[in-house]
Parts: sequence; structure tokens; C-alpha cells
Amino acid sequence: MTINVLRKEAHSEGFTTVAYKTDGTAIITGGQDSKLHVYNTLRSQRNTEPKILDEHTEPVCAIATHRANFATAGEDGTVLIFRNSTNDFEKFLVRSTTPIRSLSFNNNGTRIAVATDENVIRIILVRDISKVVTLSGHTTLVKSVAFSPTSDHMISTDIGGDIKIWDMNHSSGAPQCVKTLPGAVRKCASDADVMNTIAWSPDGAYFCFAGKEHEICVYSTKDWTQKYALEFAHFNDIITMAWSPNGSYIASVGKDRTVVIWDTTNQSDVVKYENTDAISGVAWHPQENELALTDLKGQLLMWYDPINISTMGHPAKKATQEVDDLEHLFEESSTQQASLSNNGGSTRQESLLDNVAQDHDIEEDEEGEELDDEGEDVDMASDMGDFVIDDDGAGYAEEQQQPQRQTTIRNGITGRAIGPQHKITEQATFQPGSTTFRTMDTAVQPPTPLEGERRYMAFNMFGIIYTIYQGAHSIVNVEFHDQAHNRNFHFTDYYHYTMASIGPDGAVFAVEGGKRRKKEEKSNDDEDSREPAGVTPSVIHYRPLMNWANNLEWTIDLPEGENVKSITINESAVIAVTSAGYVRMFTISGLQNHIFRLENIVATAAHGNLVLLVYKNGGTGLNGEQNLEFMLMDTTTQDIIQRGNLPLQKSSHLTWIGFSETSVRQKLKNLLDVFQALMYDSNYVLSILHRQRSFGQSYWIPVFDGKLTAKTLERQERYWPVGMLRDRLMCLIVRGTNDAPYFPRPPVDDIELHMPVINLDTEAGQLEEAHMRMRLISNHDRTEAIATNQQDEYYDVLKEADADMDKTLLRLIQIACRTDKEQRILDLAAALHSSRSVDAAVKVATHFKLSNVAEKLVQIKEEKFMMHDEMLSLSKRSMELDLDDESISSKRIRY
Amino acid sequence: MALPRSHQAAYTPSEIEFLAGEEDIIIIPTHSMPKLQFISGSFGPFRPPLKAKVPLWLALMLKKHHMCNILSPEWLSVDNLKKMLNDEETVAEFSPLPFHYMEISMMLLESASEDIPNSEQVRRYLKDLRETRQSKARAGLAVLDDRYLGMNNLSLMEINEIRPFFSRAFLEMRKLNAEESNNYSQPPA
Repeated sequence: MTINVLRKEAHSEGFTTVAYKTDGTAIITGGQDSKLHVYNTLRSQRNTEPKILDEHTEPVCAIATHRANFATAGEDGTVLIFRNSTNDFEKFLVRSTTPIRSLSFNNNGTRIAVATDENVIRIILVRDISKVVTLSGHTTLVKSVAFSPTSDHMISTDIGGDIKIWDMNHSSGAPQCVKTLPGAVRKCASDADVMNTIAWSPDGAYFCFAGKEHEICVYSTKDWTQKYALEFAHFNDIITMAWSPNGSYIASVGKDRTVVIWDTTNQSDVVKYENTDAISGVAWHPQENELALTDLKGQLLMWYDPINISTMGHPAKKATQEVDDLEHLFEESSTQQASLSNNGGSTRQESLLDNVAQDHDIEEDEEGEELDDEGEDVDMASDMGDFVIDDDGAGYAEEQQQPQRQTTIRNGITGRAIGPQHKITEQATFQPGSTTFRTMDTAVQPPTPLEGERRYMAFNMFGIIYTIYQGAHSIVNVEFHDQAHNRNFHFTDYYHYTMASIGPDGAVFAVEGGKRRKKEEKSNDDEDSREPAGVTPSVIHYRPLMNWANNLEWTIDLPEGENVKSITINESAVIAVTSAGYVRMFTISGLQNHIFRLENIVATAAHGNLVLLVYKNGGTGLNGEQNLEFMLMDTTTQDIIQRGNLPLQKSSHLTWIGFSETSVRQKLKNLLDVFQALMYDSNYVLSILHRQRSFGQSYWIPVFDGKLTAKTLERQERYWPVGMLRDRLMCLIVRGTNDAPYFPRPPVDDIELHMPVINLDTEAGQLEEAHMRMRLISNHDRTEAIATNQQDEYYDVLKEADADMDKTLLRLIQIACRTDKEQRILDLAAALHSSRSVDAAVKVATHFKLSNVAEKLVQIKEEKFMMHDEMLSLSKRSMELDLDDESISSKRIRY
Repeated sequence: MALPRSHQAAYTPSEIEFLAGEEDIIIIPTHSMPKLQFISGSFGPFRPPLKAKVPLWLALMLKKHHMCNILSPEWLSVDNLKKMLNDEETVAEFSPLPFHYMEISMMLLESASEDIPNSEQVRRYLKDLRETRQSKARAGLAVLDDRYLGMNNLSLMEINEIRPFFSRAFLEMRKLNAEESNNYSQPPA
């Protein structure tokens, strides 16, 4: 199933707010452009234009709805009342000199609480605006107010972080503050996007708010104490939240751009959705499985079916109101009756309006309650729903076309076991190590970055390329980690290169074609100004880093209509993937030396003489598989070294590919580098392609789990990989809302790799992990040595690695001896690499008085080491031992 | 040494600076280098952008040759110093700064100020901190007696400042008190 989100450009960029009318017929949004938009929610009318109300003169900050009317308020300091049925402006409620931050109707809609940028809260009688009660008690500016949906309580927050609970019907006659929760929420600015919303559960038994540590605290109204917290899903401040109409879910939105839907029964997050921008408004449809969101870009997002009701409870229907429901069915089945039902509703509502006296309202409430009860009875009895669901397989698309059926289904389902949730994000094409511009000017089409905006185009272990957008041109900066051989440089870029890659010999830049360039933008120092009239071609440009000869630089225009999609460079070749489905290879000097076809390439990375190409094999699967494959190629011989599937968990996607780099020091000559393909996915797991040289034998081994690492370090951070050295992940640590680094350039951090083995918190677990990891690395070195015929050069390294592994093994043996795990001792001893180590193991065993084990160890020693002749070279010997080693590891799994 | 007699008991500032040079600091090398062998140990190999932990003196030497960037220690940030200064002014205890904080920050600000974010502000806060701590230490000396003087988290440089006066005064007081206590405690036999 897909995520069914309908986006609409509603307001200009900035804070937006959203609310549903209480009958669910319309969404009201307000934003920075000081306009209110009213969208019809009927699915048949979802593409119609909204009705625009422009009574406000400044940005709209708050919308509150009640049966008959809705109130809006904004920075212009006015609260306006509109009629629900006709969307007509009715009257001014409040005029204040300070901006209004929050509004709330009380449970019967007779009063409205207003939070302005003052220390007092005003309660205004809707019917008679001259009747105002002010509540004072807050010591700082009031940020939000919220009436209980059922009782006479009201809760308010201020920017100093205090929460006050008021009893509006106190025995003393005047409203009284009954409890203060000092410093319960984060301090914020009065005009901050964070709203410090207090969200009441619809039954009035709980309320929740965003705590200080990006969690949601749920409080009970019985004793005003915290019941539980919903945490570990938001990485940054929570802006606001809303309970679903039946109280079984909470939808929260944060600065980390995600929407999280929490199940309140088992207190866990059940659905997550990541938007392109932070979301500042959230509202549930009063009857449907639908969520309305507005983001800081001014967009309205209507999210249909956020909850998979085939496996989980419906967010709105538990105690359904039979009458409303029937009305609703009727409404959706025919297209015409929208006005009808509105009319029907408005007669009732108007009578309400005319007679806002409290008693009348109470009657209305009672009526509603009766209906509630009836609804429940009906609900219990209906087994039909289940029957229907089995029948149609709960196909979502079908359901949308058959709303009647859908509602019946929903009626039947109350709380059910929660099944797996997948959201589909199709794997996007990306350039490893690049980021996007942070702020884009959306006023022009296509959106262009603001002047002075910058982004990384390439960030690897060799260097960094970043570009600064300057309008007519860009400045491209190239910086190196190792400045011994290369100087940092920058140049003016008239093409606005969109992708780049850097290697030890040069940097390559590319831009898609098709942009119309103005004549005056051509510069004199740009030698290749042979631009044809009309559209520009796609360009590949190579810049050497070493200037031993003249004219090493080259530029190639691709044929018209063919665009570069991805580009990369290694020591011997420039590899460009184009929209024509070609992989074009050039030598460093610009000579075309290979071309082959490969469609749907997602990303490319190159290092040494290898290139890793990741491509889609078919589309994204319905249950979230990305179906990616990889191909590892030698660019000098053009041999395919390895190809296969890229293991990606469902509903995750690939975020980075690259190569690890192990510098092995040779005895006499310079450094010897070995490379190993890497992948990093949206679950922050780094995997390494093991045995990449033996065709058909390779597999991906997870060597780092970012989530786990952050958890053990007790930090909220993410790792943005740059590369990998022998046993360390080189990455940039990203905190807060961003998932990509920004400027100034953060220092590259190194984090020790940890394979996600079990029992990492015990010493034995850590040692097992260390041994496994060391074995992995040295196996790789060994195969690499054989593949490149450099066994002699590797000799020292391998010996050192063997010694290290033996040390770890001996410590494990010691632990095993201590706990009397005799079979395990033998397993471990069999993996030892030298007879001296086995001798040590024998000593350990005798120390622990395990004489039978010691005897067996001596046997192992004899079997393994005595039979080998001295003439066998050490390296060969360790090769064979390694095979033993592997057979043992399979044995060990049994434990 | 051409120091006045009273100061000979203490270190000279340059001696303290030398001692502080042994503190470890993290650098990001900008040149790859093989292992460097020194009498005090071997460091490296360096492989940019991999961070390396080296003694301060080596870091400063590499910095002088533009071969590394020094990663400013965590405590040497405006936020932290601000907090420390605030604590220093409100709490009676000395705030926990590294033993060689004055020397390290001095050396870093002198030769690697571009690697320290907001170095000007850092410098200002350090100055304020130093003055507050100095006056605190002086106030602490006022309660000197012949038994002990407890001032936690005092840095070497600060100890050094009060050392000449303190050691002399302490000895004198002990001498006086020793006579007293001898007088009192002499058993009547």
C-alpha cells in the first residue's frame, strides 16, 4: 500500500495552522499570508479550489472550531468568528494590541479562551463580547490555552515553561488555578514555531504536551500527574500534537520534519512519515481515518488513511454516533448532497447560534451522549465488518472508491493486533556525499536556491567539493583533507554544476542540460563557450589536480537530450551515467574507452580501480522492497568483479555507498591501499561487501549500527558517513533536525565499528565481536593479497592481525575457563593461529585446574601445528587456518 | 635563577607551560605522515582526516608548520566558560576546570586561535574567570591556619601564585602553634 498524501500549496512559507470543522466537512488552514483557506474534504471534491477568507491582516496563528462556528486569530491581535455553514465572517470577538498565540473553545462553545502576548488569559463569552474574564497568574507571556472537552478545566502554558491548570467553575465563583506544573515544558520564544500545545484526550481523562526531551508526556486529569511518556521517535522539538477523535492515537509533529502517530493503548509509535519540511499544524478528521497537516512551507497535506485499519483500530470510530455516520454514508455516496447536509446541519446550528445560552447547549450535549450509547450497541453487534474485510482483502484503492463499504468495515473493527507498517519511499537517485541546498526560493519556477546558499557536492575521504550559489554563477570550492600534495582551490562556475566527484588525480563536475543560458552569463575565462543556440547540453568537466603537463583539463558535451545522472571518478577513469541508459567511461585524460548499458542507476561510487554501480531491478515493491542490485567493476580491465542483490530492509532505502580504505604499510615501498565496497541505509546500518573478489561468494556484512551506537552513547545523533578506514567509520555527526551536515564544515569524526552481535554489553560479547571483526578484516586483506599477488607485502600485516586475534581469543578462553564452558574452550583454541598461543591456552586451562581440557588442547596443537612442515610458509599456513576458522564459526553458532 | 628568594620555592611560568605541554590534545592532521619517533614516545601515523591524540607541544609544533588543525577541547567553548564563570560567581567552590587550563588555553589562543571558535569571547571569559578565581583564592588564604587549607579544583598556575606566600605563612604559623601546643600538651611528668 502506498502512503496516500495529497499536497496543496496553500500559504506562503512560514508557520501554518490547521483545523477540521467539527462536522468534518472542511479543513481550515491559516498561514503567513494572513489568509484562511477552507478546503472541502469530500474525496470527490479534493481537487477543487479552496475558499479564501482574507479578513485577517497579519499571519494567522490559531484556529479553533466548534459546532456552529469557528474562530481564528492571528498576529494582528484580532479574534474573528466565522459561521461554519457558510464560511461567512460573523463578528470580531477580540481586538488586542499584541499578537494572539492560541485559542480554545470550551466544551459547549459558549466561551473562548485567548492567549495573547501578555501574562493574562482572557476568557470571552462568545455571545456577548463585553463579558470578559481575565485570568492572571502566569509570570511570563502565555503561549497556549486549551479547554477540556468534557469538564470545566482549562490548561495554559507560558513561554517560561510553566503549565497552569484552571478550574473555571470553582466553588469560589471565580476561576481558580488549581495546579501549577513549573518548568514542565521547554522555554521558548513567544513567536517560536513550537506551540507548547496542550492536547486533551477527547474523553477529557488525559492531556498531553511536549516535554523537554522531545517526548510527549501524558497526564491524567484525576490527580494531574504523569501517567506515561511517548518517546524515542522525535529527534527534535515537538511543535504540536493532536489526539485522534476516539483517543486511541496521538499524532505529533516535530521540527525533525516527521509526523509520528502513537498508539495510546500500548504507548508506542505505530506510523512515521517524514515530510520535506517541518510541520506546524496537525488535525484529525472528526469521523474519518484522515489527517490534515500543514508545514512550514505553507503546504497543506491531506493524508488519507494514515492508520492501516485492517490491522489497527480506527482513529475516529469507537463509540460511533449512528446518526452522524449514516449522514456521512449518505454524503459520500452521492456527490450532490454536500449542500443538502450542510443545509440540514445549519438549521440546527443556526438555532444554536441564535440561542447560545448554556442550558440549550447542555441539552444538545445530552442528546449527543444518547446517540453515543446507541452507537456503541450497534457497534458491538455488527459482525458484518469482519466478514467484509476478509472478502475484499482490504485493498486500499478499492476502499476509497467504495466509501460505503469502507465505513462499514471500520464500524466493525475496534482494537486489533498491530501488524507491520510499511511506508514506501521510492529509492531516489543520489550522489554519495552530497547534500541539498537548505533554503530554496520557491517563488520562481523552477525553485532556485537563495543567493549565498551552499551545499556539498562531494565529501569523501579524499576531499570536499562544495558550491556556493551566487545567482548568475556559483563558486565551487575544492578542499582536501591531506594538503601535503594538493592545495585547496576554488573557481567560478558559470554552469551551476549539480554533481561532482573527487579522486586523487582530479575532480570531475557535471551538470544536466536543458537549461537556457543567457548570453551575458558566458564568461571570458570559460574557454569552452561554444554553446549552441537554444538549450545547453549536459556537460562533463574534468579538472586535474596535478599539473605535470599542459591542457590536462577537458570538457565534454553530451548529445542533445542526454543528461548526466550520476558521475564519479577513480584513479583510472571517469564514469558518467546518463539518462540514455548508458554508462560512459572515460580515461582520466578524457579518452572514451568504454560504454555499456545499465538502466535505472541509483548511485555510483568509485575508488582505486573499482567502481560500484547500484541500480534498480524493477520498481519499488508494494510492501516496501527497493529491489536494488549492485555491480562492482574493475575500470581498467572492465571486468565485472561481483554483482548481486543489495540487501535492504523493507521500507528502508539506500543513503550512501562508498569504499573502505585500508592503508597497509609495506616494508620498503609506499602505501598500499585496499578497497572494499560499502553501503549505508536509512536505518543507519553500514554494511561491507565481504569477499568481493571471489565471484558469487560475496555477501554483505553489517559492521556498524548507527542507532545502536547512538543509544549506547546515550546521544541523539546520526552519522553521515564519509568513508571507512580499516576498523573505523569516518563520519560527520549530525544532531538535531538535520540529516545532512551543513556549514561551517564539521570535523570528520571516527567511530569504532561494532558489528551488531548479541550481548554486546558483556565482556565476552565484546571480545567475540572484536574477534569476528578482526577476522573479517584480515580475511579481506588476505583475499586481496592473493587477488593482487602481493602476499609478501601483506605478510607483516597479516601476522600482526593474527597475533591480535590470538590475544582476543585467549581472553575469551580465560572467560570460558572461568565459567567452565569446556566445549567452548576447544572451539576457541581451534581458532588460534600459532602453536605459541595454544601453549598459552594450555597454561590458562591448567591454571583453572581443567586438566582434561588442557589435554585436549595439546591434542589440538599436535593436530594443527605439528603436522605442518617447516617449509610451509607462514602466510600459507594462516590461510588454511582461516578455513578451519570458518568451519569453527559455523560450529559455534550452535551455542 | 634570578628570581627573588621568595619565589624560588615555586615554578616559573615557563616551567609550568612546559609541564602543560605534556597534556594530550586532539588534532586533525592535514598532511599524512608516518610514525613520528620521539624520546617521550612515538605518535602517528597520521592519516587525514583521521583525528589523532598527541601531546600539546607536538600539536603546536605541527600547527606552526601548518600541518594540522587543533580541535578545541570541549571545556574551551564559550558556552562552557560562561557556565563556569556563572558557577564561579555564585558557588563558593572553585569550578572544575582542567588542572592546566590556564596554560593550555594560553598556548592555544596564542598559536592556534583560528582553530578555537569565538576565540575573542573565549579570551574574555578566561580573563574574567581568572580574576574571579584569583580573588577567591585570596579570600581563601584569609582563613589560613596551621592545620590545612582546602581549596579544590585549583589549577597548577593558581597554586603556584599563592605558593610562596602560603608555604611561608603556613610554616610560620605552625612554628608558633607548635610552641603553643608544646606548652599545653607537655605532660606534667
